[in-house]
Amino acid sequence: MSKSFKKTARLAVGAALLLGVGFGALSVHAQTAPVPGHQAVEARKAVFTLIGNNFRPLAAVLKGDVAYDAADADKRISRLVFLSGLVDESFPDASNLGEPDTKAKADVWSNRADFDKKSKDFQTHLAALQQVNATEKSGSEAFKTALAAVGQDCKGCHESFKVK
Amino acid sequence: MSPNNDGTQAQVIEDGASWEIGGDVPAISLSGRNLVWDWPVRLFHAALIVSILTAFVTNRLGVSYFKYHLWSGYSVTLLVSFRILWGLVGTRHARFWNFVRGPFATWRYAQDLLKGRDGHHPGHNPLGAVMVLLLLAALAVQALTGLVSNDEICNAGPLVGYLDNSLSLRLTSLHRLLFWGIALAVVLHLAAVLYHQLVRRENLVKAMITGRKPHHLVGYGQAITSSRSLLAVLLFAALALILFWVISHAPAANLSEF
Repeated sequence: MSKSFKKTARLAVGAALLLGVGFGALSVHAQTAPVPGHQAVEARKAVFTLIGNNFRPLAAVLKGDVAYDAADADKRISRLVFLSGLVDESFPDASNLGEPDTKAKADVWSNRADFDKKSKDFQTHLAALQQVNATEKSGSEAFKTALAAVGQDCKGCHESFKVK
Repeated sequence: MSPNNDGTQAQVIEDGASWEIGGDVPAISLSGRNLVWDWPVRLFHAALIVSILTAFVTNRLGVSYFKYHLWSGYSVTLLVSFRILWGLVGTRHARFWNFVRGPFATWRYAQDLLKGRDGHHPGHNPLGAVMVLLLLAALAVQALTGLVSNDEICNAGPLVGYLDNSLSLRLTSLHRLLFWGIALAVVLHLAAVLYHQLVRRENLVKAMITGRKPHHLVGYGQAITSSRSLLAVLLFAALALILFWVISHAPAANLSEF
């Protein structure tokens, strides 16, 4: 075996090792780098967690478990009005990842018109609830009816677009 | 009909036959002993129909009717657990081992039925027995999963606090799916009753209301003599107390996990 061949071989091995380490580092980078779809799913879950956390105390009033509190109702309804405006943009195309990453069905994107209509209804009914709450200032029947309509929007949309 | 040296009994048998054809109950029977279904069984059956329908309707009506859905679920829980116990300590035709047959006997009965050679049964026939067990089991699972379900919005069963959320959601899925199983079983049940009612001319609906069947279908010594009323009332009261205790002692659900 010639000297120059040995040298070439050493170089080749060294280069291969370097390349290997390089690709390894790249693949580690690929695993940890945030994917836009995943980020959107995280943001979406945050939005719906907040919607749930602010809706449930109102639902407790609807169910008669908790007494109506004007200041609390006011605060929660205005938060819900704000959050409902985030629903539509919480479902970018890249976030159609399917399970286990998201419980959002592919129908959200394939049947977008219906999804948009439902999210619009949610906003409309929340606006109506805010209106009713401002005039009634009590846990009246009108308040409860308006609140139930919002709850029904949650249920209707989950039935169509959330994996059960 | 075999020749009979007891004229009176032959008369009863003919009464039974005319009852079947004419649909009229004879004003006086020899013994009065043609009671098959005790009143607890009949009341259970009627209450179960109402509870299942209520559960279905209140689910379809929406989130604000959940309270009534819960009530109908408690009702099904109580009724089914009562019926299971009544199948052990109830009257003759209510007891499981008096009407549930093994797989081979049931299979033979099914074949006889197809050939039109199945005899009359005073209580449930072997295929009816399978449906009783199937419905009771399905409803028991439906009631129990309902107690630990949640809708991820604002409604939850009373025992949801015992489970972690992902298990609760899996059982909620089962609760949702099993509805279709129960609906299918109910349709089959109704089809079988209609077959007996219209094709076989056995008035099973009336029997489930009055508890009585024509004498010739009941058979000598097959009628029940008591509904065991006191036992039924005590049993039901005890079950209601247990359910109330369990529900009122359940840990509160951590709603923010939903």
